[in-house]
Amino acid sequence: MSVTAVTFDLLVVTPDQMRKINLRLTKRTQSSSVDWELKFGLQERTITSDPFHDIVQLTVAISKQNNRKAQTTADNGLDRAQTSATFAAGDAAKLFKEGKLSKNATDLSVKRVISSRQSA
Amino acid sequence: MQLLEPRSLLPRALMALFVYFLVAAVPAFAQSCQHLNEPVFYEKNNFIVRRVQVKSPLRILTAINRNLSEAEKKLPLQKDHPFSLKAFNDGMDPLQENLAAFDNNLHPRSRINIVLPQIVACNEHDEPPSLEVVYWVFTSNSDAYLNYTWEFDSDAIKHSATASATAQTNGWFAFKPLLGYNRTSQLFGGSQLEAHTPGGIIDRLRFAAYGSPAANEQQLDMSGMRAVRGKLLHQLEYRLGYRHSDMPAGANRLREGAIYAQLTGVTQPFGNQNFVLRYGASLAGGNQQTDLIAAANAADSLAASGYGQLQGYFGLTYRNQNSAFAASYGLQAGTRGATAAVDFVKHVTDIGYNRRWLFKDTEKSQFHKSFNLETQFTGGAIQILGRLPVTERFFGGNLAPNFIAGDSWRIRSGPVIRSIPQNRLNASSSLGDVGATSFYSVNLTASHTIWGRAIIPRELTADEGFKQGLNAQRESLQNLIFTARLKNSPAMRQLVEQVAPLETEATKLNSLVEKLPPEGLDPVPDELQEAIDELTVSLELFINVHLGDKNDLPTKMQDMLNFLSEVINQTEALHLALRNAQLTALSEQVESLKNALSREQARLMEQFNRIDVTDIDRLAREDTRLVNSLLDSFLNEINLFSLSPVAVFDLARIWPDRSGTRFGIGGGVRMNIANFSLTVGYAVNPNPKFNEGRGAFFFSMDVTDLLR
Repeated sequence: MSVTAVTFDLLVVTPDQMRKINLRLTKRTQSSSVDWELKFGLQERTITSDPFHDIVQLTVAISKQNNRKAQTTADNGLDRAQTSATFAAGDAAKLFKEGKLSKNATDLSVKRVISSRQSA
Repeated sequence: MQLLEPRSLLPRALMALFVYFLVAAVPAFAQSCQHLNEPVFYEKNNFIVRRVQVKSPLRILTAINRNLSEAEKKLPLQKDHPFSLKAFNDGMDPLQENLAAFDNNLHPRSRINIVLPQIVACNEHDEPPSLEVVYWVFTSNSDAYLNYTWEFDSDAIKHSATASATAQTNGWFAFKPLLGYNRTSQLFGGSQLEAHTPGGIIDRLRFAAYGSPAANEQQLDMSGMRAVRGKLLHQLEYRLGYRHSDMPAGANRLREGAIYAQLTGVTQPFGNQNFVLRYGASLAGGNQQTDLIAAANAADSLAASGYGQLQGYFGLTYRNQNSAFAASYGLQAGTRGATAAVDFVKHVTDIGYNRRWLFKDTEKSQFHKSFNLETQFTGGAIQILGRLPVTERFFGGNLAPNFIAGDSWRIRSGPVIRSIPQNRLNASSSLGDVGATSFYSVNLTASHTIWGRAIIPRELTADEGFKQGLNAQRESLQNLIFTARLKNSPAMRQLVEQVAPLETEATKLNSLVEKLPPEGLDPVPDELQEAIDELTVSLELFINVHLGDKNDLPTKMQDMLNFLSEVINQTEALHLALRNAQLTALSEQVESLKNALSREQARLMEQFNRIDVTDIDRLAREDTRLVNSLLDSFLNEINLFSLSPVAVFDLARIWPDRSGTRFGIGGGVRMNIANFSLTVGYAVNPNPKFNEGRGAFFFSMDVTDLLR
């Protein structure tokens, strides 16, 4: 059966239990195209007994040129280059929230979660 | 498998029937859809939505069902409305949002949620044409259905079915009317009232009362649990309660009432097999009365007395994909009343081993087949130092009391033989029905699945998109944890020390780019402006994020090196654009910096590729074992419901007793509903002694751990 739409929502708490990363990859089939979207959420805490608090939530549309990488990511999962880009995106999101990074640089960072895939 | 009181049999049987009819009522998809690769076809041709369903293998669980029902109301696509592709797509959002809401309360370490909408049952010949939409929902959020830490859940061999089944709900208050039968208690009725009050000292308050013309039992229990997260004490549970029971034992009656206080600790998993050690202590005091005074005296025992007891116990459990092991030992020192003079010392040991053989699913399999073998050995002995209360002696039959009152950790305190009614194993004793001072029993149970339905239906597992997507998320999870673990890698931290020259060159380049385009250049060529703009954003990201916080750089190292290639390419583009604009000096400066970046990249990449990540990879695999096991269980093992014939064989012996070893052999049927199983059968007593009977019905309930 053809998958015309799907969302994969992945949440992971880092082993040091200080960061919670949420990635949601969504595929939508439109009338004449397929759109991919990545939502990125980051929560942090300073000590493990504290609750997590939101740092940032970002939503970026995946450019058409990266549709193939998005589909490969949906089919095969994030590779290690992409997971490394995910942590970079986390830091970028945090700096953006603090006003220390531009929106363009932050968006570029989140887009890299898909575009940094080593093989399409 | 744990033999338990059959008191909650009827409600569970009714639930099983309800689930069966619920599932059976789901119609097959009668019509096929020809344009699934072009879903806009259904919008353009004005298809009407005949039905919208949210399906999940986990909707049988109250908390999940409630959550999805709430989301269902928010779906933009509604029954009898025209099909809209946008609404079809947007329906994924409320489902994901509601599933994610679980995380706020339950704090999973990791989880995967999938929402997969499908167009089904299209009918182009209807006027207007119609279709149905199904949103398949899957979550691996184990905390959503087992509201405990996994160390407790993994102790399924000793886990109380009642306690676990209750834990599947998020309810704050539960009332359970119960009705059942066993030969000793006869037809009984009662209820259990349970309140969950998380956040306070007492997390759970439970009151249960059952009664019949032959027997009655009441228990009030308050308990709490705290996560300590130490190696030797990962979790602490405490309990305070009162229990009273009045049960027949042949011609005798066993009446007792006691107040108890308990502490139970659990270690973190250790060793390759992920063993978990549980240990605890209990203090209790009360009184007991029995009817056969002369028989009690003849057995150096007390027919009626006050008593006090101090118990210590520990147990080891482990589970893997297809087997489970639990071994427990309990020691009890007992007194007559509130004194330190010990009158008896009781020892019990309870060892269980379960093994499962799974059969490979075929393309047509509608359920997962398995052959299961369960074995249990129980033994006990009492050292009598003074006088022994009769109720503390060992009585045998098809039910055994729990050594630890009220606790979900079950250590049998008596022999189990399913062919003899409860408390009748010593019915032929020359002393009368006053129990025994030592015993052993061995129980074997074999079952084979012959019918059922897989919890994730064939129509979903046959969907390559779903299966592939699920496996992809496992890969993502493992890679994310792998990368997170790089943070503490000594080799990676050494590499972080080597990035200073790169940072210097990148900063020089950034300073140069900030001054571009040079004053007086008018107009600025588009090629040059684009190159400047692109590199400006990249350098901002590269310097502030990738080379920013050195503490987190190990996790970003691979991306930093990969992104550096892009920065170098963009620098080359700038170099060419400057040259094309006749800005030769600037072009050469940029080229020089590009070459410096390339050298640094090669140097760092060479060191990066030399780092041995074998151990980190292993740790990441261990970290994801839990969620992988859960997903494997869902895909390959768990049936929504199933039926299995069961064969049982028991051996039991008590001392003193002149009847020797007793046997029981029988058969029955096991019904599984998700991770809950109910076994009903009859075991024959091939050589019945006085008052034992020719056989007995047996019931057992168990909760299988999903997190093998």
